[in-house]
Amino acid sequence: MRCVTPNRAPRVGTIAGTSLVVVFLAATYPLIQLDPGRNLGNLFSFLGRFAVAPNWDYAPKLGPRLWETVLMAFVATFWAILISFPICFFASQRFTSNKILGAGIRGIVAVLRAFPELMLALLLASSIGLGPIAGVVALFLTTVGFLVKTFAESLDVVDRKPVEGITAAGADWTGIRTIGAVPQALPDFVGLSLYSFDVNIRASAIIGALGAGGIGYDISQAVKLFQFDRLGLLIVSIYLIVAAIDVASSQIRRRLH
Amino acid sequence: MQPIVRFGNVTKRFPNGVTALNEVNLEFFPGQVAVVLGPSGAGKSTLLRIINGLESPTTGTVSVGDLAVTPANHRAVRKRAGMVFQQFNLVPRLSVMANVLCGRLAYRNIWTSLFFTFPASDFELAEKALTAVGLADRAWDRVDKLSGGQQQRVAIARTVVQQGAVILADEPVASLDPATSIEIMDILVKIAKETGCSLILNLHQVDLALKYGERIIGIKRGVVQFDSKPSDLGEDQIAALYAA
Repeated sequence: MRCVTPNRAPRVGTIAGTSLVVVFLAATYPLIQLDPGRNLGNLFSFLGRFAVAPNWDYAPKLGPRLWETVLMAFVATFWAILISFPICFFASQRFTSNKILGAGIRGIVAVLRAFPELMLALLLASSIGLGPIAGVVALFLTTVGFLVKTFAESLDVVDRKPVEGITAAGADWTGIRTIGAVPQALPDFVGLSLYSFDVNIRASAIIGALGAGGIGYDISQAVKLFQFDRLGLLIVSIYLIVAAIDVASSQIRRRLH
Repeated sequence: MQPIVRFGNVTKRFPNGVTALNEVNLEFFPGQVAVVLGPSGAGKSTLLRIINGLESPTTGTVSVGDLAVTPANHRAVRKRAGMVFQQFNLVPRLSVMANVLCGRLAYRNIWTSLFFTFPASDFELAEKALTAVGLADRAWDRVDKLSGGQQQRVAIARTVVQQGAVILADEPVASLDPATSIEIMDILVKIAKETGCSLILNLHQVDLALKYGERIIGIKRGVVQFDSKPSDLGEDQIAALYAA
């Protein structure tokens, strides 16, 4: 075998990169304590416990719980979009009014993105109090971190020519951005917003386990109390809601092109 | 007659060291169709873009009417000097009407930029301009669904509603087929004559320049080589312009 390089040998970078991955894989082996016999045995006995009739009496309570989870995600995503939209212009490398301000905003949102929602929710629960508000604020902050960055990056790659056309027509600072750039970035903005909502529904189900409300609390209780007749229903309902949002958002995105 | 555009000793040097314009002195007059000819990279585009403030001269001054082209005056200058581009530079995804209304942005404030609402008088102007370029029936189509020639007509309508004194056209037909090129040139000249605008065009087709230009300016390596009526222009001058 000959490689497509001047000396027909693999590149140094390729060899180094591959070796590094192999070393890391080898290093993880003792860490994860893989024991196929034991792990699979546990899995099968766990799955076996689902072989009970679903607790249909619990089903009516499921709806409101699920609704709470979706609402928490919705409120957090809505406010995050509303706040991120005006900020993203200043965070954009191309459209900011001041390069230093832009770098500052990108730095701040990088901090917001650095922490997992669950960790923020824990911190907030102990600072502003337990309950749905801690979860919503945690989701909101993480989403602002994500949307400001990705909105700004979408603005950075819009075609230069329409922006120049609007500039030459005498638009003001705002118009150059809102009319020259935003229509081009709009499909990205909508796609990223829908993706955030999707991520936030899953995250709000997890955060709920802290007692922030929604379906997460019921899941953690069902696991702790071995209520497998409830757990099956909970898992299926989360799947259904996430799948429904997924279908809806891909429909919206398709229509927007 | 007072010139509408005046270049006073304008030099433009780009950060990469290229001198696009070298001590250019030119005056353009109202109602005149002036064509700028020259090989690629001669500085034709820079010449036009400096008038509109899309580029700033390194040294020298440019004025449009009694206004010096400075960053503080950019919007006021652009109100007077609309621009047509080779690639049309329309905003995709917006309607034809929306794109034409963008020509009114120089007259509107931040509320129009934020909520994209225009007074009825602007809609009337836009409808009139679209009729003038023959696209009244396409007003509510998405602009990116139109052909190249139609898109250029939308771009011309956008400069018409600016109600300026100058139309700058930077290679307006370079992306169009020969028949469409003639169509667009006819519309540009007709509109310039009807509105009394001065038309300054960059072209790379010598035949179109001689057909439509009332004045031909040759530029090479940022220096004006000739500036005369088409009838006074010799073939040797044109050959020398494009010679290496």
